[in-house]
Amino acid sequence: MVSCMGSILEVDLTSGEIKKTKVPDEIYYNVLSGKGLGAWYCLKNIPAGADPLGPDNILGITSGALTGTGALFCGRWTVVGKSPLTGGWGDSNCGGMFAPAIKQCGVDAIFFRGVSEKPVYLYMDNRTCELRDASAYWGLDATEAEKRLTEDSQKGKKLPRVAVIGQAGENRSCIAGICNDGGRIAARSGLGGVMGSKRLKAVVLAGSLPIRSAQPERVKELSSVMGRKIKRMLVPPVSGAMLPMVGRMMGLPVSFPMDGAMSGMLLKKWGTPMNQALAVVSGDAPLKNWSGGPKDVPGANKEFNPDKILAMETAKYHCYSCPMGCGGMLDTGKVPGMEYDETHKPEYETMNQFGPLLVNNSLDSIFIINELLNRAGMDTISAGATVAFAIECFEVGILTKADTDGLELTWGNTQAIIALVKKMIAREGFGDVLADGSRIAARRIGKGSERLAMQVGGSELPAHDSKNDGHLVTHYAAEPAPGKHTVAMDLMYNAMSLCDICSWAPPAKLRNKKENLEPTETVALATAANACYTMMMDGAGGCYYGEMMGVHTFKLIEYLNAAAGWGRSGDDYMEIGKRVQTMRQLFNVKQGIDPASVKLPGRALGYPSLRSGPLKGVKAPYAKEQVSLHWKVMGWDGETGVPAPETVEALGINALLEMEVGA
Amino acid sequence: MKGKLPVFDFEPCVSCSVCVLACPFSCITLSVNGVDALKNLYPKVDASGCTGCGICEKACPMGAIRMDGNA
Repeated sequence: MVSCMGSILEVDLTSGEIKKTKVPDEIYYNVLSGKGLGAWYCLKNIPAGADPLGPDNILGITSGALTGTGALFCGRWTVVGKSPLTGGWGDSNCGGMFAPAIKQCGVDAIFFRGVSEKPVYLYMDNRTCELRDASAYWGLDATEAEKRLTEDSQKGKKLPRVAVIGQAGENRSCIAGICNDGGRIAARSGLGGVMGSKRLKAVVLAGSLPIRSAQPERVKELSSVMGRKIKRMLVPPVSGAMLPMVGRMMGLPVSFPMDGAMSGMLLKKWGTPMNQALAVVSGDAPLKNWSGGPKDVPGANKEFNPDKILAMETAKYHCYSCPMGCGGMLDTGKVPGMEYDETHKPEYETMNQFGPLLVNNSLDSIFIINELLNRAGMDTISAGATVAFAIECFEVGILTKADTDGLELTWGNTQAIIALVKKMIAREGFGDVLADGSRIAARRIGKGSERLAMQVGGSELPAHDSKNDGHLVTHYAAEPAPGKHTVAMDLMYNAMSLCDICSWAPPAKLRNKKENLEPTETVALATAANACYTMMMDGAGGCYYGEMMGVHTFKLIEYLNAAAGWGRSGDDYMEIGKRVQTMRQLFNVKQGIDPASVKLPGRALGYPSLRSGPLKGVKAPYAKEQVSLHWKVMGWDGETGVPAPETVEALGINALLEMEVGA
Repeated sequence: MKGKLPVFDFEPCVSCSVCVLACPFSCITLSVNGVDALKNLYPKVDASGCTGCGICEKACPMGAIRMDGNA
């Protein structure tokens, strides 16, 4: 594939051996790069039963097939491996400037196995590739370590790009992520803990090799058209205080197709914090550990008005190749109790997980926690859900102050929440109990506490209520890396026009939201199509918010054909997505995960149902049937979730697994 | 010999960093603020390192770079 480098780097941290090996072109043709390449390599090479925090696990850091070609919205890198959080497939992706740096070193991915005796980091440029002593950086938070590694590694003007773990990863936390660009984080699946278990502090990349495409002028033309559209997009001339009114409309019991440009306009102005103002009233945001309605979080819309955040913004933040800039840098010099003068704009997920989910009505505390967790390299989604679990345990008497190191863990106790986060980062006292997420914490605490852990398959649920978006009932449970909102949602499906590039994807239509909670073939086709498309996009290094702009704006199929010199159809690319998704599921089966046992907690399905708000009384009684139908559309067994042998054969997976990388 | 330097037109520029990555001498940064109300950052060239090779102009998808500045 012209736009890929055609090689990977294999690093054995036990022996110190480093090999650059070629990847057969057929692999790229069948799974692209990024998550697809990672799924192929890990399924082939991680042995069944591997300890996620042991030497047999492999940590892969991958770039995308379109990254660096000039294709817009294609600057994501993906980390892959066996998740210590779920025991199955793990992956997470992140933006910033790190993704193209992988390819500029001449490889599409770096795979680490083994465990180093002492802390090390990998340094790589056009000529050099070596493991270096990281003792001087071990113990530093991710932002500080990145800063020092950049300074210490820089030769001339070329700025090295660094992916690094903080204290959470070093402490082998199962909810640790990997950071870059001063606070961006590939947060989910606990792969920062895997990196820490290998005593690999960082990856420092300073290559400058060119990244090619088959038809560069066509790639440029596609980017030009999309870039102009986004540049001209109107910025909504409304204040953030008006967003809850829009949220009320979104909370109506109807689901409808819409232009992806709508979300683009909002993101361009406010970034994801705008969703906080929509989500409390629309029913999107889980409140009070998934047990509350808007009345339980009075004042949230006023406190979390995204205009307050805009007022602190000193500059927008664009990841590589992003024309939108949903990120931002904030001046936090005047935030009481904040140690740092600057933080990346908190994402909606962080805001809700540490705000309304905990009945915490302090925006200032969100900035503090955001920076603490970004520096520690800990997933804010899992950490917030785990704190919510602990608070509810305290409120119902499962925990007392004797258990919590004296912390009064009541709803909305801002100072106790901040103190607990610090303890989790340091694995200090009660923080150690919680540092590996809510499922493991519930096992440690016992006393029936597991019913209060809002997790699925070990992975904490994010800030989108599955009763509001029925596609999530399927995705949260059926996704091989469960509990993720970034694979697909009804909201996304409505904006994508996927039926225009995929012959079997049903058109999005105006309908009652309740129809998404019923086991119909239409919903199953939509969830499967959306998941396959996202898997394919992840192989290209694409961004979720580009995806949400729809196939007529973010022309991924045209981009891939131009970059690779192919002439493949939308259905061909959807098959790539299906192949990658099936490989990820096969990984789970190989590792002993029983897909049928991965079930959503009752509250995510309306058991017990909410007593107020837009989701009052809403139930999702057919979750098992919805998942089963989704599996069948994927060509997997409807009862067990195991990919059917004929599907595996038709996708050519066994033949791909027999292929070897060559030196 | 040094050629012309890049001149950036912020009107079509989308702050995508494609030029930042393309520059073989790492001379371009996104660092100009105050151009638009949204506070997007725009590119700036370090003239001391720029050779005027024009790779950034070729890479920019938005036609926002002209090699027209004085060295």
